[in-house]
Amino acid sequence: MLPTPPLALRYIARGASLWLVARVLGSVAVALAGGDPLHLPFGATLLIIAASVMLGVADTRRRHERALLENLAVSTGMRVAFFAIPAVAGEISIGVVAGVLA
Amino acid sequence: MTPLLVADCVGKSFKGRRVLSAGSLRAVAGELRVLLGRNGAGKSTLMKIAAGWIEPDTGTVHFDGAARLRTRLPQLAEQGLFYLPDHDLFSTAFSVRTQLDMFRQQFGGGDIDEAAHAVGLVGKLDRRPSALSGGELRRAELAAILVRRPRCLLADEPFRGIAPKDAEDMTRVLRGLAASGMAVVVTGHEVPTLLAAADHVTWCTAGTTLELGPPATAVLHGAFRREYLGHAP
Repeated sequence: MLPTPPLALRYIARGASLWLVARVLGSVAVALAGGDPLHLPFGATLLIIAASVMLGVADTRRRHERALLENLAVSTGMRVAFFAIPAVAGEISIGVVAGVLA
Repeated sequence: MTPLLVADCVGKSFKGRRVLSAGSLRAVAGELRVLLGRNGAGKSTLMKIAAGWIEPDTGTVHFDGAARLRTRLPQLAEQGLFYLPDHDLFSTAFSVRTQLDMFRQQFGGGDIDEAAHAVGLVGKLDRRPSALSGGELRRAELAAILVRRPRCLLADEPFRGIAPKDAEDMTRVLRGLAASGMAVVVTGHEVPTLLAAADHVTWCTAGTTLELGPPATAVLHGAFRREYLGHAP
């Protein structure tokens, strides 16, 4: 069962903010290492997406949301998607912007 | 009547300690069944397995006539199950109204304000769960059930930490849900309240379960009286 748009949007918005945190931290780390924060290696991009998902899952645990989401018929895979989708979309957007600027 | 949900001969161990060896649970439409037993007898574990919250080591769970090898709560919820855990149904991130609205939208459920009125929670829906007392939180959870309108409800210790008056009110609502055709299973230690409300008693003891039948029959069961109720046989 797919979640209703308002429910999905709440979690995707949370996923977007968590991706932003992971991305800023990742970019700072790359910049400190002398790299270009806009052109991250593919491995680093994957790492940021994975970190965003992990942060999201940890956040749902911190907020005790398992019972709520599972009673709403939201599967574990869907929960992961809530946090992966904005991270992947964000990375693609940055890639496009970086390509245009280059 | 055919049970809507059956947890059949389920077993579960935690870190080598056998909590359940062969426990069974049935939820029947139109009945309020109570699962009684001492602390540590395995009631909550049996409820969690029946709800797809945890996997059993042995045994199967059937819902609506279909057996599943790996039962998951989201799948059962889609088919009409609602599992009320002994704590933390609600997220701390949203108001109670927002979360009730999630149930309403997801399942096309009942009216939120009507549900709040039925459980005596009018005027408190816009608070976050952390701003409610234990009794109010249990009422809010009951409102979620009223909004969700599931076919089957498994409620783990819904009366825990609430005043007797609140327990009576909640029992009345649960009885009403069963009368409307819902299959309801409740655990707890509030024996007089539960026995007065129940249609059927299941006793969880020594890693297994015994079907004791209606409360009037259950209280005559010698071992149940001696080992659980504490009455002389």
